[in-house]
Amino acid sequence: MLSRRAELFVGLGVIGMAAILLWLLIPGYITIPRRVPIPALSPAFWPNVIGWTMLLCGVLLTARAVTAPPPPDSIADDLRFTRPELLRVGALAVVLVTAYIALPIVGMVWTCMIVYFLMVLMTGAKRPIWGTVIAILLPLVLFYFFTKVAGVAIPQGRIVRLP
Amino acid sequence: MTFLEALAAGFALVAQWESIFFLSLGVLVGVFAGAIPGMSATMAVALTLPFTFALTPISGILLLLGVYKGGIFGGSIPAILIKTPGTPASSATAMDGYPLAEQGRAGEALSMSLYSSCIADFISNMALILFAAWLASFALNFGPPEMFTLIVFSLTIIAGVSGDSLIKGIVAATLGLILATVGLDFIGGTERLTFGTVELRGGINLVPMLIGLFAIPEIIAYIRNPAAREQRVRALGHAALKWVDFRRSLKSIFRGSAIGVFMGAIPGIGAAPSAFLSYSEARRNSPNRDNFGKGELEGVAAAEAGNNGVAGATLIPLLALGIPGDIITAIIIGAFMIHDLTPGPLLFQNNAQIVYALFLGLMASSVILLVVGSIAIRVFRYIADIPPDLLFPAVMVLCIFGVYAINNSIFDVALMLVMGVVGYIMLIFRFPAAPFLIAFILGPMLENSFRQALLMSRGSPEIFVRGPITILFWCLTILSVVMIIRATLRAARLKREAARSASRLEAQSKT
Amino acid sequence: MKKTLTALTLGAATAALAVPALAEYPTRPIQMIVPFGAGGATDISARALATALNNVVPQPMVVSNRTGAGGATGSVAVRDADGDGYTLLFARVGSHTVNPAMNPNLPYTIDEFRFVGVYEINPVACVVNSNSDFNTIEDLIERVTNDPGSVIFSSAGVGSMPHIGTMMVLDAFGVEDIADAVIHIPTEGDGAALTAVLQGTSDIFCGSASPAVPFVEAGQMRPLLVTSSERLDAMDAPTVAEAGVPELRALVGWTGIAGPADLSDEAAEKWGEWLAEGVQDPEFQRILTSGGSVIELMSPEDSVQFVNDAYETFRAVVVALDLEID
Repeated sequence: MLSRRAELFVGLGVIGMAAILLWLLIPGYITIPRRVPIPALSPAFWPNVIGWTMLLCGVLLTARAVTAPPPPDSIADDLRFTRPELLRVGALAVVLVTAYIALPIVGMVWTCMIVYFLMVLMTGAKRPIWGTVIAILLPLVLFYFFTKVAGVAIPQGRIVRLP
Repeated sequence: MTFLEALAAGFALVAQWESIFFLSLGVLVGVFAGAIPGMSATMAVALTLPFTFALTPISGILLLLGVYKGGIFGGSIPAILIKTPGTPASSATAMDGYPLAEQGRAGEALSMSLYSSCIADFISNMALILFAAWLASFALNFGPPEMFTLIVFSLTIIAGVSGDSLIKGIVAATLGLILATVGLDFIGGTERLTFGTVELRGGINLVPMLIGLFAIPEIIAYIRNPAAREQRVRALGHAALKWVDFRRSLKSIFRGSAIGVFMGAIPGIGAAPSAFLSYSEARRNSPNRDNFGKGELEGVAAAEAGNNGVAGATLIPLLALGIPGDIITAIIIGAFMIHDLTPGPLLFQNNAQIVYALFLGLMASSVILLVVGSIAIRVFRYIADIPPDLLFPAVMVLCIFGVYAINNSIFDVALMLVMGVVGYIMLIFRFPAAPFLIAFILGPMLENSFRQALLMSRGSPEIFVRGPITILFWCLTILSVVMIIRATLRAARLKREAARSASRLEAQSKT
Repeated sequence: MKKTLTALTLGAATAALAVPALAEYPTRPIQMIVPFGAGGATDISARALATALNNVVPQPMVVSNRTGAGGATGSVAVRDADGDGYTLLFARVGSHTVNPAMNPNLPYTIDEFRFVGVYEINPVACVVNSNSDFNTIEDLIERVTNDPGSVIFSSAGVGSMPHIGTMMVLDAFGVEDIADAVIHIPTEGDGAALTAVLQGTSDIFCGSASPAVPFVEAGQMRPLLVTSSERLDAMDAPTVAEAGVPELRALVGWTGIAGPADLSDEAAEKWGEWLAEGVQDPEFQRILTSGGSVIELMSPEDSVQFVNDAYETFRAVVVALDLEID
């Protein structure tokens, strides 16, 4: 269960998302054709219906957070990240974003080897030998499976190409 | 040719080692392909198609059907073991299968999934053989208005998979619906929420989204706090399924199979909505309702019955009318044409022996699935014994490869990672993922059928009550909405009372 | 001495690495992108051709589907690829003539591709449900003229061949104000569009003959018109010439192979040779003709001419009927 503050935050967040959708995204990024025989056939009709539903739900969530009795602190979820947790999640984000950028340049196999190895390190590397062995073998096995058996051209990158 | 002669000729066609060999090979390929996230049943069937060019018609078609059936079951293996649905339809299986694996009951979950799949598959095949003509005429009456009402009714599933807050479930569903509108508009061809990017013109792909939504949040949660998982017992995934558990799930299996047959006979719906509908119906009717989503064998059984129940029935529109029910059957139609066979009513007249051979092959496929599936389970359940610090990074790498392979697109990899973050935020704030996914799958069907119907009627809404089928679904929808509201109010009252007494206790302990 | 040795070693290493680059195209597998879904008409045609070419081309062909946005996603992927001949596209009438003619916002133009050969032509057929009152195309035209807005046609989506095809047929028969005279119901694909005709949701479908053949053979549908120059074996319907609208012969589907605009001459030349040999494969011919297609291999130059002509024809219709997508 979330605390009252978190629930309130969620409710307001949903209202905010609905508002962005209704007043920013729909008018700005949906092109309406010149000929629309009836309003219900307009490309913006469903997104509008969805947006208003979301807004209504946001209001209901906020109202419930304000009125309902809050759960006692002892059983409410603690949403705070501790310092090591934040560090690890941050490191994961950096690794994945870098990997995504590196994918087309370095190739999927080499990138995934490094991703695997770094992720093993992040969790404390309790089994470093196994971690290294799998880091090397798994992407290679997947590469040969997908290219040779399934006929998928796995991106090879521009540096070292595998046969 | 009389019926008996055709049947005999069909039997002669199937009872050759060759036919059985290709059918078994197909099931084997399908189970393993389905078990690899990103290699969906559709992709496996498409990849097998060129190999059938050189085979005899019956061997070729049995090979494809084997891959199809195997793939649908195979998808449940990673769904249970690593919360990465191998096919979209097995997402419903993950909802209870993964918690079971977490509790060290992966073996039971996999066995339940297999038995349920085989039974549903068999029922679906029997429905195809016995009621094909009747169900096909029903499918012919299913135009856009009927489709729309069916989807509206199916959306009430959301209530069954929302967990403790219905409103949060609806919010998750609206998110799924809005993401489903991204791409080129269906009627006007104009761009919707694509922000000018080429990749988004085609819409958001389902598989990267669902893998991002299910598998990645687990990985993030594990990396955030690896120690939390060390204390849990995860191994011991070798316990056998108990007869009592199987016995009490039978009702849900039969119900799920019936739902699958019905949804499969209607072209254009597919297995995923059927799996979720079956799951939510099972939850509603089960005495163990509160345990659903926390590791309930009956939930696994219902989900798998729902998606395998589609497998045979989806051949009904194909064989009886010549129309494809989904992408997989479209590929199988291609295989028929390549071998100069015309799917549809003519097949029964001109190639009756092929039809009966196909029927016999289908019945055999349920048994073969049982055998091949048991072997696959024995192989795959060792995954449950891999320590999490080696398993989770492997899941990550597997997801990157698999998601790329689906559409040869690096953009899809980014999409999966972004959806993973969205999924993790939803997890933290206790938004359920299943309504999001259901809405994403049903969204286009809902909107397209709504607009097609209005185009047909030139804007008159009367078309939505044009016949008995539409009215039936409206009544069912109203009925379930009333039941949902009643259940929600009751649950809210109980929750309020519980919270009140809890705070009272706390206040007492403080004084 | 040491320097020479190093230079030699380096030279040898570079040579070893560079050997493939010096050798004749192709030295590695060729990726063939199908911009449409698995199991569709393009996909089957592509996989059949790839299977046939595997006996001709020294390197394997990797056929991959890259679906989305009426073929735009896959087409853009090939346009942006290197012109070294290792990434090619199965281009089709929808992605490379109808869509560019209708959609000015398309992220690519046909000039951004170099065609190495069109190998397949699909005549278009107009089919109606056998229970319908329309026995000839004239019956349909009469109804559309007398009761505008009462006839519904289905297509495989906005900017697909059946979308513009039906409009072209009506236009050729002199129907005016086409946008209001008929109602267009887009569906998810040819299969779904034909299902709509079978269910009675739609009155007519004018698209590639191949997916309609089984329904005509089974007596579920009736063909009214075909755009081939001679009557088709599979469906006995008047040709456009017999119906007095020979200009509709331009309304045909096609499949061809294209690379990015900067595709090397070497690759283009090789492909011309391979295709000439590949289309002779009996298995390939059987698969394509069983689906109602006509195998007609054009040289790279003829292909470009053919595609541009088809584009101009469609573009003229789009402008005349004001069908452009906003």
